[in-house]
Amino acid sequence: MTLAPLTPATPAADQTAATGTSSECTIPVTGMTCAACSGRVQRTLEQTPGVRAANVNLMTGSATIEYDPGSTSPGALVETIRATGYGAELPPAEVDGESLLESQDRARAEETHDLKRKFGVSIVAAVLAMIVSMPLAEAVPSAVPDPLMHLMMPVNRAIRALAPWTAGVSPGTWRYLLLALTLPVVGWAGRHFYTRAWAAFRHHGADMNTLVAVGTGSAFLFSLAMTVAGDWFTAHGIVPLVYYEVVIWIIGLILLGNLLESRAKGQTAGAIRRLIGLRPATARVTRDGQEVEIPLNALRPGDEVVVRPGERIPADGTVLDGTSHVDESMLTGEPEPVTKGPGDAVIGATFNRNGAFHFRVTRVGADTVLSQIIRLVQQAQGSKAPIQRLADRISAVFVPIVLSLAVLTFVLWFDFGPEPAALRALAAAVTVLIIACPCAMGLAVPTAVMVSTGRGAELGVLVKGGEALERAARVDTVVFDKTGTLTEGRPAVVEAVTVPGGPVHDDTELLALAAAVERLSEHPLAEAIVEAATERGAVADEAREFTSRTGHGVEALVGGRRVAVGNRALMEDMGVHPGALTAQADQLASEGRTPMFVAVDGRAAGLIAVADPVKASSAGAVARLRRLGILTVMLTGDNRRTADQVGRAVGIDRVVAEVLPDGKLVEIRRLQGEGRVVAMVGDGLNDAPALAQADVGIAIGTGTDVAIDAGAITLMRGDPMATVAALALARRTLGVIRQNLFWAFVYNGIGIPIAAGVLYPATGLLLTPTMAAAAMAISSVSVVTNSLRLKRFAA
Amino acid sequence: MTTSQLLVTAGGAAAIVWINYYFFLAGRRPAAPAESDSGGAQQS
Repeated sequence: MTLAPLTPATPAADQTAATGTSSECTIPVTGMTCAACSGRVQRTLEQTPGVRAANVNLMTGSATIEYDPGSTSPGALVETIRATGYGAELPPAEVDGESLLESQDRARAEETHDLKRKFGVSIVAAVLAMIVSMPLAEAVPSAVPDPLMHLMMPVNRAIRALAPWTAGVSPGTWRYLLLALTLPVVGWAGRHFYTRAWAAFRHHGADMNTLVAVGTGSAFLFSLAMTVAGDWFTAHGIVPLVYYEVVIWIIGLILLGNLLESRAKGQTAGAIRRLIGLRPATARVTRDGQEVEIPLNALRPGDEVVVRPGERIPADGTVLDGTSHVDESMLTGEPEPVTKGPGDAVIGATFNRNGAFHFRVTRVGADTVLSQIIRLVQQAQGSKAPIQRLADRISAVFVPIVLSLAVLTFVLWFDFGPEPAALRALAAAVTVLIIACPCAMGLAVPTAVMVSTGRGAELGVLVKGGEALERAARVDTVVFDKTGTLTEGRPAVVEAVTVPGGPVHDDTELLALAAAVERLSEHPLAEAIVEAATERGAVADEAREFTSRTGHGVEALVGGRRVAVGNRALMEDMGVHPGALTAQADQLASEGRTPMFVAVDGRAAGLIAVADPVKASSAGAVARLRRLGILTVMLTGDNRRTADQVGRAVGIDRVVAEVLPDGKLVEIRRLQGEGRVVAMVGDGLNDAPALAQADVGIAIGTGTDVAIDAGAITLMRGDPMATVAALALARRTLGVIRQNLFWAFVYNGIGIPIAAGVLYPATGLLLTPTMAAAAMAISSVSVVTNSLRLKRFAA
Repeated sequence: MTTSQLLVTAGGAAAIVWINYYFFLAGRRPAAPAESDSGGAQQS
């Protein structure tokens, strides 16, 4: 099995695509906080000459761009992104996925630290502003009663009692004091909102920063005018009210929301971090007969490594000597330790339980299974689910519409609101702008995809991306390939019957002849016959003129005799009459065994019965799928009776037997024609066409290789229960995405009209700008927290 | 309606029109024309 060519998860990777005329690069982008931000960067990139396609991901903070190297370059693309007001760095060349994660972690830690400082300053300023506002509110009552201010009134009375001189301070002085408290918040802690909004505006773009900047900026400028020209306003009959504390609270609460969001985003990459943490720092190699401990990056393919009990295996390789039990659960999800002996493959980062052994290193660094998994998960986490398009489409038009609504709100309050109408109009317009920030909408889908793909990797389920996850959630029919999927895939000969007076003397000769032919076949049943013949020491001449009849059997010349091994159809084709063997074959098939007819020189020679035991978890997995309302189908090239017997044993809904390899594809098309969303579970190599035809191809990996190119989902272990885990995880993820989107839309759908004051005429209910800021912070944090629930998903 | 109310209404309507023009229409520039080939002789 092979690994598909991957879109580089590395920021630096700038690789020429297969066409030779297109290149791709991934550039980390900082400062994006909402769907409108990522949408704007994406649109700008898409409009840039030389760019063929761009995918900007809010969660991973990166832009993957396909471009024409003759027209533009990664350096120019970085400049294009910076011009939109967001940060972008051209990363150093040859950075792998793990270094990327480290640099992302560092950037996130710096961002969190920066946000903490800014939030700290803002919250101190907000509390002080609240205290300073109280004597002012007593002297000049606010247009809109603020419940927060109301709660603080006992504090005001306490201050008055402790410092009676405060009663003598003029309102103008209080206003200047509030201005002094607001300046560091507006000029430093919240400065990035204004700079980014301005950069967006210059490019005809609007995002969350625009809403915050316009909302707080208008409140600040209004308050500044009232402070500087308070006497003039008073002289003209206008009460000089200020909204400084509102500006500080809004910026403080939005920073708090960003801070919590940044921390939660960090947790979503936890699965990748745990995978990287599995790798030991050093390896003990044998050099010149001596055991030497070397750093992991000094390990090379061909090195002989010693692994002791309780140690992690440092790289992929093949056991040379010694036996042990190895816990591979961290990569394959397989709970039982796997016995390893000479010739067996071992996977780097898995845990050696009780024995000591030597192994030869076959793959190191980026080629190891662990590195492939990490890369695939990172790639999947950066991909977009189709459902995201809905959020993207809305966010693209959302902010200008909200700006229009805010203006309309202002006009309606000014024209029809109670006095002081201008002040109420300003407060309502600012509240609309603040409550409408589309942060939750932007985080709804990517956070869920990221947590889900990470959790999947921990369970041994590798999902190719958001699209695969979404399709898997809609699956209503699961088609299993029988051999190796529902059965062990290691058939063994259980019976050999010869025809009395036939062309062979005994079952040893029968096996010897059959094995001579089957030795040239790659069919799993052939292996069983060859193995049985070897065990019995049944040897025949080498086969010549071998021909394989797909779906029927094989034939060849063995020691001058024409030997054919296959099913009843093969015998009929060759004009061989099985006679009494037919009844015996039926009997064996009804017992779940696969009878194979053997003919020698055109005469029936005997029967070889092969049985492939059903996996212990198959019946349980099928039952679980049926409980999920999924139709289960088993496809097999095996005869009807054997297939029915296996089908009954595992409780499958439909059994389709005697299917030629091409027929699997036809059967899947037929199910799709019935309007079913079909998942095909099978071997990544033999069933590749059927996996590709299915809506969701689920390839069973061997644990030592990652056959991700074969299917949308790869199971790292051959346990059918992993199929249930994959589909259940996909369903749960789509459920979480729907919840997130529902709440994000409901939040804005309900929040904006209430902020505009639709409930005021009937109930007198009106939100304050501070309440809107708190609600906005809560909405984005609740979306991320909801997605993090997927970390606890258990199949 | 008072004069100030009329002014605010007119200003608001103008602002809404301008916001929608600036963000939805003015931002949509036509795609950059394809560049002529840089190599070869200039054709007259």
